[in-house]
Amino acid sequence: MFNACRFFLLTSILALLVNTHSGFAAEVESEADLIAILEADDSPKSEKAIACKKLAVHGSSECIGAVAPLLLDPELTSWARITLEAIQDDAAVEALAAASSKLDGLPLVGVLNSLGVRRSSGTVTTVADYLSSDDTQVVEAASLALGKIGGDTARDALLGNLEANDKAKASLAAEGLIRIAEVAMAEGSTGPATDLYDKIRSLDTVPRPLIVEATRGAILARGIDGVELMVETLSADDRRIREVAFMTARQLEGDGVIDRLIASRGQVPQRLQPMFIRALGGRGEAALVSEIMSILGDASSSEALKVAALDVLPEVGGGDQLVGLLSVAVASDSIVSEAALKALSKIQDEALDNQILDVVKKSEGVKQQILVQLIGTRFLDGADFLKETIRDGDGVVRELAMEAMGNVVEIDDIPFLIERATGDNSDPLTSVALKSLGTACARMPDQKACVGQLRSAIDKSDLETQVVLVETLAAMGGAEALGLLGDLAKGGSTPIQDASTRVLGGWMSTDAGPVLAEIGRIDGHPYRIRAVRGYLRLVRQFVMKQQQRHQMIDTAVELADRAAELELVLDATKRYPTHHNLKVAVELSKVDSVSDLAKETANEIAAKLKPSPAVTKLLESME
Amino acid sequence: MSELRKQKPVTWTSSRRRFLSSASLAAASTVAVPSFVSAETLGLGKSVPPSDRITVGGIGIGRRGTYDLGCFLEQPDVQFIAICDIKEKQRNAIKERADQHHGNSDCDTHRDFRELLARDDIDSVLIATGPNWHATAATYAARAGKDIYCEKPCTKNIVQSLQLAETMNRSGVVFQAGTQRRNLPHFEFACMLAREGRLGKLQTVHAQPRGMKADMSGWMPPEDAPPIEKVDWNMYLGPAAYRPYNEKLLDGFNFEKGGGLTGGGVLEWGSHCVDLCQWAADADSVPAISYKAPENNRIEAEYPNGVKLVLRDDGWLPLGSCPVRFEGTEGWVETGDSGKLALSSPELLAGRKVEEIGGYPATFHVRDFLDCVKTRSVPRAGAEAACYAHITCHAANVALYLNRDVSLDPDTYEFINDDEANRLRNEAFREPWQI
Repeated sequence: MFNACRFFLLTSILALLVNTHSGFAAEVESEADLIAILEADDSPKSEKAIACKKLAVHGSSECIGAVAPLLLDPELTSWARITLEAIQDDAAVEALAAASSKLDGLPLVGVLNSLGVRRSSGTVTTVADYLSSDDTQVVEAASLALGKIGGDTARDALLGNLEANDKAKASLAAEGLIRIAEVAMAEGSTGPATDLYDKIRSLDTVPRPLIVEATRGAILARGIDGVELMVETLSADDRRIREVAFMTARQLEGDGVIDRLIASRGQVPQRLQPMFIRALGGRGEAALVSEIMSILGDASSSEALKVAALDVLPEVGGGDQLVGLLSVAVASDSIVSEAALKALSKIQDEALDNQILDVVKKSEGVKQQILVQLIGTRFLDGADFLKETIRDGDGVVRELAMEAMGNVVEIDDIPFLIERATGDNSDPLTSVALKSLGTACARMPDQKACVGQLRSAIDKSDLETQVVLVETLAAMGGAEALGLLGDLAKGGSTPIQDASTRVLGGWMSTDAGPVLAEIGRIDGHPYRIRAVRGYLRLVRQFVMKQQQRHQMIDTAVELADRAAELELVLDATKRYPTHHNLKVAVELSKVDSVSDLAKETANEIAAKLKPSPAVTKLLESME
Repeated sequence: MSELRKQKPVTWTSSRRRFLSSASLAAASTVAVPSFVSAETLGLGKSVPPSDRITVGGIGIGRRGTYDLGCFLEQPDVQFIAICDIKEKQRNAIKERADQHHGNSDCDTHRDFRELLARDDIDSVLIATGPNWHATAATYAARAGKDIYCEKPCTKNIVQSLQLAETMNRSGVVFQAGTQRRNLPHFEFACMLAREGRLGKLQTVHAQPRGMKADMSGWMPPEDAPPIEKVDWNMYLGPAAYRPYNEKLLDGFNFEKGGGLTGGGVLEWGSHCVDLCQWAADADSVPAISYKAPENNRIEAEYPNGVKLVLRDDGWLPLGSCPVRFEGTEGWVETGDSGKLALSSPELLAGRKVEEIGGYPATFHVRDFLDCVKTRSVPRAGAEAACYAHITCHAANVALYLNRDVSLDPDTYEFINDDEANRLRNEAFREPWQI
């Protein structure tokens, strides 16, 4: 029963929420009022249309009698169907069915479409009558509506058209029948579904897209027995039909399907095997691992097949295949080798991690190099081994081990990296260690402790080392590093101040603003101008809330005492035209060195603002 | 066990030569743009002869579509051979661009997309009409056996979302929704952190609706319609209910979005950021189920796995448009269109350098689509993922419109004990259209 109070509330909300270009009236209407709009001869069609839309959500069966006549109006029939499809009352379906006999052409098509949406079995006979229409659009609507409604009667009616000597009607019937078959398959009636699919795909009167659909259905409906048809279909002349077979290889369901699919690989044409193995990989089943390793170990396997097998390996497992994959990585041609390395990097399995840590100790040469890198890329607990390798290994593996250190060390090993990063510059390992140190510091969860270690090292180091460690702080980022940089910029030696202010000037967050402003206020600081310009960089280029930018522009005006920096302030005001920034530009028009530019800027800003007496007054205040 | 042991490997991008020479770690530790299938495998190692290219036709190529088209034309294995648009000016402009790109005059023009779909020489279509047409055009394209890249929002309501997924599945075509952020490194990385448990147990995912409201295009005063060759008003209306020509309605981007009652920002932006939240919540096969009435300009919903979804406009870090935030028991991540990431701990980055790509380009998403066309795989934003992301947006809009709590039945996707909400699940198409 329609609840008038609830309707009042809902239509009020509607009026508030709906952004009307025209239609929705602001006043609150009752269902009776909306019905009155529909029944009044002098109501504009626009109002009747919107009334239908409202009734579709809030109307009751009471409105059906008023809506149904609109089905006969070509301009309102679609609006009326919005209502009648929505109201879940048999009377709405009956109104649609009754209207069909009074209609032809597009309005009839629309009504048949709506009957398909409502899926009332009681309307099958009515709809089926239109299968014999001379109007193809009507036949299409009836065929698809019957497909949606389903049931034996609808199926039999469609089968009549499927077998008729009319290609267009047969094609549309097939489309309806496929929908019936899909429902049957979903409900577990795979036998009837298979019969329909097989019938359709055997007809040469049916267009290719429907043959594709029917083939897909025919394979899937057979379950594990569909593997045979799938393999057979891979040899089809038509590319689209072959392609859908690959898709079914991913979708087939049932116990033992993967084993049957694997066993059938030999029947798949060689040139299609890479795509076939990719399709099997998409199933994500571990049973494929041994098949993949078999492909890799088979000298007759093509390069493309091996690459495909390695590409899908991480999706199915392979965590226990380190030795085999290493062999492929070092022995194969470059494309297969690279695929093996990629697989080793991507496989997510703790067992593989443990194998790597175990095998690396017994390896040498290229295999060891690969494993050392994997320790880094997989973030394994291998710091002690890496340190040993750095100490005892040969050139290449030492560098790789040092590089891997950045990804695996914990806080206690930071001093080790500091020591190596600040060592002999002629040692190529030193630059690698510095990079590793930056990587390690950036990922330390306890940034405070890490910065503490760097601070301690800086305190004890010579000037050259200090400068190196400042660069590490830059790589590290974050509030703790920023704090230390600020201290160094303010209180360090001149070279340290140079390095620190350089880093601060390129800092990638607005957090650096207060630090740079502080330095900018220190009279006589050798890098005061650099700090001010760094501050202006933040103001001009970085994303921030308007209020913050206004505050920073005010501070920049305070810090800038040369024309060059004032010009940058004006540039900032121009980039972000607001009333506040207009005031700043007007104020700067009183500074001789930038007066002309400031006036020009003020006028440009004003042109972008909404005209107002305040804006005019500000502009007039400039000479 | 060290926390480091929990970190998972990342995509390997180095070549073997670099790998074996020495300094490949940085590259190996980079979360870069997705590489998908190797270029060699796809036959992209050198220039692709026209006979081996994927032939593409465009349907409704306006502002957004023109950008998408550029992403397609960048690909060496694409031949764009036909444009359909209801506006003559647009048809001619796109033909000129395609012809100029390919150095020929072969791009055909159509006013009715059914003519384009009937062509056997077109493999795939780019659908970038207004949202009013997306699901319908995509369905007709699938019926014609074309692979589909379809702009978002892909559907106008819940039933369309389900039907779209069912149709794509049944017809065996490759479908990619135009939610290109799924193929950008920072969004992918953030979702990976959530999906792989590196944030602990995922608790809440946040998305920005960017304005919660409902739009209705209505029936405006009639104006003289241009000649059909210039603007085909009937085809423009398409599945939307009839109304007379009025130029103000010719803004396809906003016309009848979400069926007229439940569109707005939740659908426009949610189809991106709710989609990312869904990916992060490992919920690509299910929508959020329960929705609270909007409160303080927020809507809260919950996925069946207990993860809470919060739609809100306020409180975001300055990381650009379309922000998302994922919160777990052990950490959080937030990112947006700037390409930058904010993390609860730098350890989450664990040495990786996530490639910072701002401006949300669609190039990688288009490449993903084309790769899947060749391998017959499911793209990142396939029909199923798009279906449930859109259902969540539509259901949130229903809660917004009705201003009350609503709950979806997880099996039928019907609202439980709420007839009015269920009436918003679907809307009749103007004749002759249907899906």
